[in-house]
Amino acid sequence: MKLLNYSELLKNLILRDLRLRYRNTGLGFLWSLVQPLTMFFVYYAVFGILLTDKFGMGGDTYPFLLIIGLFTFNFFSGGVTKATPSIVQAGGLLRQVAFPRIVLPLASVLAEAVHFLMMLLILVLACFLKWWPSHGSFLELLPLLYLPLLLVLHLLVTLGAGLLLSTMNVFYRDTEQLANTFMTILFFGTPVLYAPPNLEKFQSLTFLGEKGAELVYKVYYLNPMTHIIKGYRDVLLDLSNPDSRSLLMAFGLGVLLFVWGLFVFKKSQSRFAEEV
Amino acid sequence: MGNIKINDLKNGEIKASNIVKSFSIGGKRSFRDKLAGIKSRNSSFKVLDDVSINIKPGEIIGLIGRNGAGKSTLLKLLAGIYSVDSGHVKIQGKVASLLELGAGFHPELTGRENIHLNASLLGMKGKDIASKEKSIFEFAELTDFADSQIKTYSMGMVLRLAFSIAIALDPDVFLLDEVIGVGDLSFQQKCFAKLNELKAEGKTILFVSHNLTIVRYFAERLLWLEDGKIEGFGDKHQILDRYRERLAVSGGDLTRTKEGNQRWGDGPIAIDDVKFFDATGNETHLFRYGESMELTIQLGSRGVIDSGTAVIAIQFHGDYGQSLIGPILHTVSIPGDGPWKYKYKIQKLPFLRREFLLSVGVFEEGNLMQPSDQREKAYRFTVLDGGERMTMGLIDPGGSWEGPF
Repeated sequence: MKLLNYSELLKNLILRDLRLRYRNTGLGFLWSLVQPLTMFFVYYAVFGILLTDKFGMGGDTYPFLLIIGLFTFNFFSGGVTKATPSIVQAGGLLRQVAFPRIVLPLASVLAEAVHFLMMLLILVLACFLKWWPSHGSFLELLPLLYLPLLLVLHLLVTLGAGLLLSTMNVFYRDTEQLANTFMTILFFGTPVLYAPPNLEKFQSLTFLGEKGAELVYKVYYLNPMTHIIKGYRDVLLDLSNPDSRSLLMAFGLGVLLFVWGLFVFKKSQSRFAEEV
Repeated sequence: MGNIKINDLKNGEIKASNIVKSFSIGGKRSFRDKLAGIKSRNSSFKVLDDVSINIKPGEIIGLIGRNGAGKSTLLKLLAGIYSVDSGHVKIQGKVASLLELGAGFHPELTGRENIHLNASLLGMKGKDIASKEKSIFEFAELTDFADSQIKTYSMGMVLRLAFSIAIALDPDVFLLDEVIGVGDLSFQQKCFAKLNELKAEGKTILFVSHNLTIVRYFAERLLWLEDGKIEGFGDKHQILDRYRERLAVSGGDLTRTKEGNQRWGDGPIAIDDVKFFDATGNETHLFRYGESMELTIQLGSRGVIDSGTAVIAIQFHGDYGQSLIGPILHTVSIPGDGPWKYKYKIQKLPFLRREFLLSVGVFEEGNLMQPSDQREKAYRFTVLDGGERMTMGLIDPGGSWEGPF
């Protein structure tokens, strides 16, 4: 059973996801823009305007930094939380036909990716408009070529976590709730609303202690999304090549997560039909 | 799924050797159990135990057995939905399975969208689906409903659509679990015609049915599972006779009519007992065509009875629950307090090799609208012998031929 023979199924599952979400709604597909943009304005109002002095998160570039963080993290969290219940929800399908089970979480993630591509287009457009008034050579836009690579890493991380959690959810239904809760924590534990802090920032939180600060710092940078968001910002905000260390970390952690997820999924998938 | 080393199966051939499948009984574990260190207290039981079958291309096999015998599990193993604990399963060729009706459909999507989803689920390619879309709707008689959401379909319409899609896949092996025999009669006949077509094309069909009439009509060989083991595999008449005998002896839960075994009415006269006796006076559920059958009905009182007479009604049904004979009404006297016993004797049983159901009702005199006690299709008996070989159907009226004149 080759996954390639089921590309049609994958396409139809993605279409189903998109159709069902916007069927019978007045705005239709535009709804996919409303929620993230609302989020952006709310967070901008709170952190960019009202609380600027307190957190030092204001400044000219803040809206841009914020929107890149939000859109990027949204794809990750949306993809993972949609993929997590994807196997369990397809219980009927599993017991009806033999097909490569992996298309289920894959379709959930890719449906989110469709949304994200639209966001990314908006970001690129904004980046271009910001660059245009004082532009020099077009070569300055070259770093944008890093976007496909970042997108692949982004997908790898999201898919890896999705595969892992969707498998776990078959055997332990608590996983879905846990994943949703964890996503909230991660939202603040990832540089979405702020620029990634350095070690000194952590050390300035005296209650952590010296060792504690170092530990938290290490854990913080073990989060692949930290590096991916940083990469997107390097490219879209600064029009510079992404920091190579970040890129390497994102690559290493992304591959690791993906291989782990794939391994767990492959190992358990023959039991899905009887467990759901 | 285990792979067989010898890969020389023909297209449409099914081979399973020594397959064993167990399921664990007991609830799902949660994190709480896991954290508390509760090891699974589940025991497992064998649904299939050392089952080996070899089905050749173009065979039509009926799969029979009581509920829980492992029929559905076997189909799911063959379809590759479950994996075997040990043993090997191998099917050569394209497999279409219709196992749980409409499970692949999404209620919010239209018929057309569901066709694309469902057909791609069965492994069809995009342009193949598009080219077959029209014929799928035509066969399902749903052309006018192509763009309505599935949630507006009736159960019968869903079945028709599911069946039509599976047929359109043009499978080499067709696995059906209790889905034929659902739906209205005209579509059923269409399904059978189509399945016969597939049969003629040399496709392999394996189907589960509790409807022994369908099994007898359609299958060539029967596979009888009992408690996860093969009880019989071979000629359908031979297997069916043994199967019926077994069911009749054990009281039989073999036909499942939807309305089966209902009781209503709370009048003063109750039906206490109904028994069948054969020609030798033994109580039994097994009869042969042309033999005598004696029915004893015992009534009792459960209230104040105004009149000295009652009316007993009996009605014979076929195994779908369709009415065959009756109601036959008979007025009886009910002297004293009861219980009262009556006999109904048939000298020569006109029924042919099938299962039959009997309804018995009792009415107070002058009130035939509301039964005092009604036992609807509550009693069954089995006729083993088919009578004249050339007589089809359920009843042989016992007529005779003459001529030419």
